Amino acid sequence: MRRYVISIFVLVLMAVGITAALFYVKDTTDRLYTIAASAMQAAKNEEYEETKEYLLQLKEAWKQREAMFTLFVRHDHIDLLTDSLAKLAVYVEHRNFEEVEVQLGTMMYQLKNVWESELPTFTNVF
Amino acid sequence: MSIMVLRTLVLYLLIVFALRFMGKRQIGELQPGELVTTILISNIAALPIEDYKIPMLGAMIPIILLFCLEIIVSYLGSRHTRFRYLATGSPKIIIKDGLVDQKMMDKLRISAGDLLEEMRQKDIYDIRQVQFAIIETSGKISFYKKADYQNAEKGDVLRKVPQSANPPLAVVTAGTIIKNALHCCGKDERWLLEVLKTNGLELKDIYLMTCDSTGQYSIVEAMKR
Repeated sequence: MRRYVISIFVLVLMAVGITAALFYVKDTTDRLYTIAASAMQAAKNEEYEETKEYLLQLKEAWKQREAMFTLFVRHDHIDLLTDSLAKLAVYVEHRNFEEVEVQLGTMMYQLKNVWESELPTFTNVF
Repeated sequence: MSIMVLRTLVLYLLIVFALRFMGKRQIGELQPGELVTTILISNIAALPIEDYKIPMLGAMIPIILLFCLEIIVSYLGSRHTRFRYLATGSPKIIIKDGLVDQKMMDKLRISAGDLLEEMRQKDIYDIRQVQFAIIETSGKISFYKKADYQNAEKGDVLRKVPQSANPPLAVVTAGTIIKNALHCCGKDERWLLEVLKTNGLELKDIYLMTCDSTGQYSIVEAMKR
């Protein structure tokens, strides 16, 4: 009986944890996506200072969330995002706005992909 | 390399804890569902050790989920006979009154060769010695010898060899009547309820009741919770 009750409790805890993790992923990807979208706009307008500021925000936001992310997201997805950020820093430094836009576009797609791949949809399950 | 070592250590401890928590039996005694769970757990545990890109929780959560489900299914199976039969199946009689039930053997896809092999493992070399055989849900076959071939016990000395009879079968478990077993003993529900009434009991009071073909029965009452 005791093990049965503990098992039920663990399952409930698991369900709550998984739901919380999903919300966390959604919140993180949305946040980074919003900053990336703003950075994209600044890059389109070739505004160096503004683009640099958004990049710093992206880095800061990613730094805050990366550790938790690694617990439940595949590390290759995380590596891709980290790579993108590293490349962005170089492109922004060289004021190569075209490459900045491309990289931001890629990063936004990756963020969307991370969220969609965590969703328990029919496609993902099967 | 150090990551591999640490991951292996963590997963090893988790699996040992999980198996300890589940109270597992030996491989040869596992029910089909339990065998699947054990195999799945070992396969899942290997994934993050082989591929560092998979987060540890990607293995730990499925393992914990599997052993929790196993405990829940076992618990429900111990309380509800019908659920247990759904989850693990029910034992099937393949030899009764010394006669092989060939239809049941075909249904279970057991050949005569398989039967003989199981017999030999129990040191039985002549099928004529077998009164009763039942295939358990784990796949093992249990044999009951005819009276003439049973080992003598202290109480048998100076006693006449009784007529061969089928062994007692469980006719009530956890308050549920097992109609097949009851029928096998040549009894019906009316007889069962009368016996219970004679003993001042109701069906819900019964933890286990066994009965043989001669009508001898034994009752184990359910513990008051």
